[in-house]
Amino acid sequence: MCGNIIAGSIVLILVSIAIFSIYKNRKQGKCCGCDSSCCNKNNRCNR
Amino acid sequence: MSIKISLAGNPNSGKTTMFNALTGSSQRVGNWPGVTVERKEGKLKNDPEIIIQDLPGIYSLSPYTLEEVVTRDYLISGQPDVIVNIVDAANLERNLYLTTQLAELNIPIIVTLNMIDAAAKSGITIDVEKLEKELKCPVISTSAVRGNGCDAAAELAIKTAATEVSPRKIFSEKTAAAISEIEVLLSHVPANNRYWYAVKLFERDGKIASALNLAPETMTKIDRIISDREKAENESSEAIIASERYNWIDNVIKAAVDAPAGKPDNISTKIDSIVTNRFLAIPLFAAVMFMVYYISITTIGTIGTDWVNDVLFGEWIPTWVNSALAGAGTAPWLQSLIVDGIISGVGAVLGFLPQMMVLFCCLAILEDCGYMARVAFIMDRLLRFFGLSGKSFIPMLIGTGCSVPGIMASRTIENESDRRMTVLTTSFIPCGAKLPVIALISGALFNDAAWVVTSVYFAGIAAVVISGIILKKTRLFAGEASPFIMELPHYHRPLVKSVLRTTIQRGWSFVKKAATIILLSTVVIWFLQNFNWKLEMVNPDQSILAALGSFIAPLFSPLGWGNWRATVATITGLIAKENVVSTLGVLYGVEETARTALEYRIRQEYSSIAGYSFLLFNLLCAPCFAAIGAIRREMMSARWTIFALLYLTVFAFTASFLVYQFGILISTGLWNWQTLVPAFILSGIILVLLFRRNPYCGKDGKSALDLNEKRLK
Repeated sequence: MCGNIIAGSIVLILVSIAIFSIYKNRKQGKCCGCDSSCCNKNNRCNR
Repeated sequence: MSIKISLAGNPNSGKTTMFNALTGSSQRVGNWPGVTVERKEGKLKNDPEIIIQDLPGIYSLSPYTLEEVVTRDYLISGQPDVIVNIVDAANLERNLYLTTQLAELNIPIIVTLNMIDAAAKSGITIDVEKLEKELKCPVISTSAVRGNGCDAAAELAIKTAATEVSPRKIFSEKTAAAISEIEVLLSHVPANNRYWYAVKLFERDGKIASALNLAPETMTKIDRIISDREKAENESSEAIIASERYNWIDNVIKAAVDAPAGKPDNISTKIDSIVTNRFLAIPLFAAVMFMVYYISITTIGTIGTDWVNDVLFGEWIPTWVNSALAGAGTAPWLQSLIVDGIISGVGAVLGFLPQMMVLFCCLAILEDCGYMARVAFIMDRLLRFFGLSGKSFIPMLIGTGCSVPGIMASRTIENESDRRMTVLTTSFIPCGAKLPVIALISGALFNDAAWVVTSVYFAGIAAVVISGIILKKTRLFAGEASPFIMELPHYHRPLVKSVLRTTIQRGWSFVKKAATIILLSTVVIWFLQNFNWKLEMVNPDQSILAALGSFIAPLFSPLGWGNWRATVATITGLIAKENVVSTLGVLYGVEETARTALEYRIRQEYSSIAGYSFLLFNLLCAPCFAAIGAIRREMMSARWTIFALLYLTVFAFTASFLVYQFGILISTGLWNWQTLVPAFILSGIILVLLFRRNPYCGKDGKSALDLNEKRLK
């Protein structure tokens, strides 16, 4: 039971971080997420 | 007080380097034109009130390219308070052409003699005071790449912003008189830009004439003024202006510059005599790319990848996590999700990180030293033979990192049909995300042979060429190739800091993607693979994913990989191409998540030819959603986007089908008439499309579209 709670929480945290990260990138208009070096400081496509 | 400083200059003059030095940004500096498609803005490091704008590299303020139009529209809108004209001190004559035009804008300007150290090495000495006297504006020497003089240039620009200026007039008496007559007719135009508009009208700039919306009588008077001058000189007005600008520049150079006679025989010229040689260029390019992939995929990179896959994700992490989860009494399904799902999937992708880092490092070195700029020039000679232009290859070179900026870089192509074709074909060239797929298949079925990676890279180029030939013979894409002019930057030793920064940035974005999109995808794939429609935990072969995959899989049987796992992996590649690897990692989940275990399963399931066919399809088919979004934005049409996706997928299917069918026939002698006959028919159709006469080309080789225009005149 304890193991399920810990393991499940870890999975939920990882998934939440991933979703939030993708959402933040899209909101900031980050060009693609493929190659961050293509994005400048203002998160617009550099090329 | 807020001041806007605009950095303007020729491509490769060092604008972006200076921009980075002044604003502290870490933007990549490419050595080929088309890097800056849009304006970039930043704040001066020590004074956030000062805004620095990095404008696209341009040779003049003519209306011929999108960069030129974007730049001049911005400059005449009156937004910048001062222009910093960055000039390559070793190529003053060519760079000063733009300076003469910027000086007509009635905006305070300073000139920075950048790369002054390179000029000094070539034996060029510039008298800055005399140059200031000739140009009638402040001049300062800088070396942006070494960080010398940038802060002083910014201070000088801020001081100059407060000064009153008037347009710098450099033309002959008679041309100046004609321009003055035109100025008189522009009383409704703001006085500060009137001179510039008058010069543009004298050059018969169509865009300016439309923008000013002058009355027909006024246009007739202007036309008469220009025609009188043209008859007197027996030249077009544009040629008169260009000629007089260069005469003035010649006089400035004579007064202020001391350079060795004749063409400087420097190291860049010597290297280019081999690298861009008519016969050696392409074999050399093939050899360079082979070496890059040999070092990264076959040798050095593989050492790191093997350790990460076999030790880190093969033993340490799964063993530790399994024992921790078992010890905590975790439910088997949750244990499976974590180990067989997340660790398997994400680990399969992250396992390739060492190979990717070595590859990114090699490509960064090639870019930083100046070689990649030559590749577009080399490819222009080849592509022009097929009706394309080297300018179309630049987005593809950018696309080797990521297709999205590559597709966006097609904006620099003026010709609409060439631009569309470039958008369509950019994703044929393998991007960074496709490299793990290549590395997996080459490792599993070809013993990490470097020729596999090189061959798929050139297969991408072949796909571009074949598409160009076929599509150029259709009404949608007919027309001559765009002209291609580019300046080859000097070679220089790659800067360690720059190479490391690029490598780490790209590596980090690879890791971030694995931790976000790939992680989410593996969770979803694990779920669909382990549950049936009633949400009961089952064997993978009875799962939702197997049902969906099995429905579509028969489509891919003629390609040699018609099983549900390969089909599902291909479909998940639409989210992110790395997903192909992580999905295979989850679907072929074994007790160990070692790459060798995954490779072993792939070797069991697929022959070499089927594997290569699978690889080819995934490389050439529709790209990831992010790239599809970029295609949609650049095509500005849903119909064109759908056409692009269909074309890419059909092309990929055809290529994989032919490779597999003929590969099986040649290697094993086995054949099946139900697939071989269509293969021959398809090959025949392709050959006809490739070699048929271009119906849009006249007998003298000129485009029929041009011939029609001449007949109308």
